[in-house]
Amino acid sequence: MDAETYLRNLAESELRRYRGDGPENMLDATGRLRAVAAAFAGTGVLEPGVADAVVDDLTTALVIRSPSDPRVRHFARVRHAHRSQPSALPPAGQVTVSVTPIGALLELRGGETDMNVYLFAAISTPELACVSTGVLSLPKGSLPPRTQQPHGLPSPSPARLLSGWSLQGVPGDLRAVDETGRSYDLVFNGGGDGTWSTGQFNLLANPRRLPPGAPQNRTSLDVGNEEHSVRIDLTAGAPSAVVTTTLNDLCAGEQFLRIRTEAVFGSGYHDIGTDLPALAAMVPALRAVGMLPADSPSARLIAALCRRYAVTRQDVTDPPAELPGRWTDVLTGGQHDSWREADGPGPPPAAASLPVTFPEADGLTVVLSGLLTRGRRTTLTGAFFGPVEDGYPEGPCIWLRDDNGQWHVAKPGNWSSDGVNLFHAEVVPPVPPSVSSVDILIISRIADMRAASVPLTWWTS
Amino acid sequence: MKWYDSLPAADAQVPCGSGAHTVRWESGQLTLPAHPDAEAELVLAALGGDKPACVAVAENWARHTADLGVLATGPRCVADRVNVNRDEIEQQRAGLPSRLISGTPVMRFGASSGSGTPRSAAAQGRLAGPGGVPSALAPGMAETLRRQQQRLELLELLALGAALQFRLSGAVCAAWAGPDRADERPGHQPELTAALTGRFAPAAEEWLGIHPDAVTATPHQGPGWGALELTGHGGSRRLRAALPLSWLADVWACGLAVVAGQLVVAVEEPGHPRARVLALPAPDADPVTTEVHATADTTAGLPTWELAF
Repeated sequence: MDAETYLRNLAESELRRYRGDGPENMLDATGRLRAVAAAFAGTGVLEPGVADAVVDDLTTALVIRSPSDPRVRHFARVRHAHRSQPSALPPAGQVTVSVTPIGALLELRGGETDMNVYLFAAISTPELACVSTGVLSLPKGSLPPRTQQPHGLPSPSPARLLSGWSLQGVPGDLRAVDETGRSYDLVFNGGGDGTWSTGQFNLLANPRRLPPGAPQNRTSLDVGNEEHSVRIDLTAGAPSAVVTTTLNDLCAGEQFLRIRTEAVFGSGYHDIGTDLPALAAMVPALRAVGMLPADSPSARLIAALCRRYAVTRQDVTDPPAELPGRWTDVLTGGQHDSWREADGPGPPPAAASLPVTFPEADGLTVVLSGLLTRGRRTTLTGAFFGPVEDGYPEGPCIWLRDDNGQWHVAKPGNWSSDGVNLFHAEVVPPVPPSVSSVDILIISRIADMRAASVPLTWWTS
Repeated sequence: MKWYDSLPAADAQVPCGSGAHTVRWESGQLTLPAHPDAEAELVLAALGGDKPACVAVAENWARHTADLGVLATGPRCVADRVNVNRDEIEQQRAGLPSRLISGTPVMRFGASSGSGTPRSAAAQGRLAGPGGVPSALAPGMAETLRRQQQRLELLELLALGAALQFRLSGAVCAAWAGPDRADERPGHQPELTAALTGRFAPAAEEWLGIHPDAVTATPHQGPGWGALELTGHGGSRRLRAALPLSWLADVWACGLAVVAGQLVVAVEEPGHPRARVLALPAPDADPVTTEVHATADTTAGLPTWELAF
């Protein structure tokens, strides 16, 4: 059967199955169709525009069968708005990226709140220079006094380019001055809850006389404000991690199903079981269009997940396979509910640089920069350079295995995309500061990339 | 003989001016009893006057009599209720660029349920005419706006109610079943196949009690009414049908799909209140010529048929 006919017949089936109002039903009804549409578009058997149009048609058809629920209409508007805003994908191709570990702590005690600014790594490309960071902001007197003598930067001249704008819990007056005396405004790009924020400070030359990319040539930066600053040595590289890349040699359908299945672990904080119906719908769909072999390893893994979560798997008749260790680690010890419920006083916040650049795969270069553990939460910062595919918008799946053998998965929950995708990801389960090294596994569509025994040197206030 | 000969006239109310006017579908034509000289009103509108809402609806109808989007969103069976709120359409229309709205191309008034063009000028991305929106927008955004405009037009037509929804669907099906679209049909096979399956499956469920997901239908090419194949038993039954696209207009759109427990596979002589059809009493039986008669009852604006004795 051709892919469009399959998709349209599936839409007919979902329309018949649809019962009643409510965005949950709407999500359920469109979820399987969206998954199969993504699978067909992602494996090249259907034009993305056609796949989108079929999903749009079903969305409209469902809305006009839900006359009394404004939430359903809101869902549809969001869906149509999403379509009307083509994603601003950065250009594809090789990107020259350099990542320099920093491992510095900027203690600010002169403002309305006490702040610790953890500086993980400097990331630079011809288009971008930034410092990945985590910021802790607590009421005055909550953090220990600064351990170093204050060493503030001179008064800014000229004034900040974006003065008067700041995010709660993030210092809005940070600058950097390089060894030649050139000044840069640090503009935060990230998010948080007012107490903890993670993201990156973009370096904005002030005055803007430098061409983009000039920061690559610096050897040091003084980062701070008039109260205090720290010096960053940009020439002090870390021992580069050895990355091995293994091409998976799978067919397109298997590759897609595999990356989507891995992404179930790396996306969001919802119950994995809710993702399974959409995942299971891809199996017969890809088979129907000849894109998935009868003995698909991914289909067997999906069957195993469906069995574990007691999800009806009439779509997947494959015999269940044994789940990989990294999955069972996360399923048994890493569910967010279990570790969040165990909230309580934990070890003091600690940060570690994790400057690893992975080779390009799927047109995407992945860079990791740092880890920040506070309480029972760990955040990983990094960036994707290149276009993140619509078929798996979470990007490649990032796994860490600590030196105790425990696997952790990164859940990128937020990123910016002004040319690059700088992300900060929750790591589940959290990585305690007692861990001294990690193996990193990045799973992309075409390849697995591994960095073994990357050392972690933690620092704290 | 036309497919719509098996359908009685149907009316809908349209807010127009300060009141509500009747829009009437009859013998395949959409007519405006409250606007006897609609051509003249169109000329006035083209010269800058207000275009009556009824006239706009008729123009809209004419643009969509071959729009496959009607089949993707419209009703699949009489139990499938489609409810469109006009206020919501207006809300959504208010969100579109004003030039796009005002730029809706003026077409010669001639709404009919016969074969229309597959895509009007609007559907070809020339919504705003010379110097209009598309030229001022990025191609992607112009395409998105074109889709939104088409969707709103479609919703306006579906807001006319169930009776006209089925009649518009019939017009679209007839347009695509006609010989003048023989060259275009292969390029739209997925949409046509889904439209056929989506409408035949509920009929098969009513006829055999089979689960509609176990039913597939494909367009039948060539002479004859088509073919049926029922396989399996119990919950594993599968029904495969090959039916001509004209089944959708001649049979389904006229409420004739299942009459007195028999599946109607073709209409030999359309008519209302009496028609002659070809019906299957069982999947493995040969079709039988049968006279059917419309009762006084209607469901979703379609006649209810029974065997005529």
